[in-house]
Amino acid sequence: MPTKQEKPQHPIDNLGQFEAWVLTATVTLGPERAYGMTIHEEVERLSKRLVVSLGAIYTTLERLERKGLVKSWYADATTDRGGRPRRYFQLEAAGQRALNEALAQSAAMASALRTAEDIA
Amino acid sequence: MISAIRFALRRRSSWYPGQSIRIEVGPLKGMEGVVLSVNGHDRLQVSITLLQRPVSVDLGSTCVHPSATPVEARFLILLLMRGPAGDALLGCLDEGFHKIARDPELGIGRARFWYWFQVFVSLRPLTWAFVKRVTGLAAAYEAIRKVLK
Repeated sequence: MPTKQEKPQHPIDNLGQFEAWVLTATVTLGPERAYGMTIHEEVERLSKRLVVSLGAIYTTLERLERKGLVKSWYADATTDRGGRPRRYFQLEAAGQRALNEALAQSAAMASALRTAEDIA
Repeated sequence: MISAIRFALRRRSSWYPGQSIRIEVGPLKGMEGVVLSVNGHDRLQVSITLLQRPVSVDLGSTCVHPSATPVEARFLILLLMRGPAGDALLGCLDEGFHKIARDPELGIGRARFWYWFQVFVSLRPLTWAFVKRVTGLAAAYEAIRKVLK
């Protein structure tokens, strides 16, 4: 008789690929440097995508914050930003778990593909 | 007269190195450049591009005006993303604009193109987020998700 699979204690939605890139960029930059512009540049650099829009970065970060995966705060306004503040982002524990889960899934997929290639 | 003095004072106080400017009077009228340094109260060392070469000129602060990012593009962003989040996004666009404008190999034209391009490619995600917010689709999705958990 098949056993019922146990539900994880804190279920986390699967991350989309772009969400995973945004979370990865937030982690690599650290809380002192992770704001919209730097996250945008880091995602472009890491993902090697030609076009990443700032709007997509912001809407993704807003969604991740609503899910409780990141938190944000506003710094002081600066002149080179037209007197507008920077909004910094930092990963929450749930965000770290979601990112680890996404990495584990990618590793499992890579392993499965390697096995299939070996068989072929 | 008083309003002219106030205007001059307001403009003078806001200059900073790296700021993008447009020359308003004199033989260089209409040219755009970048502030290199602020000398005293009313003199600016400005870098402009002449015959595809960067040239440094000394100008009075009343002869120049700050180059603004495209108003129509800013309006589009604020229409779709209001509040502090919209402000932070506009701040990032301004930062990118000035960063490109400061680069002597790229200049204001390229900065303006980058700004418009970023706004254009941001329209789809921002519009979708706006539609979800306005129609309550996002709230409905969250409610369904909580029930299913």
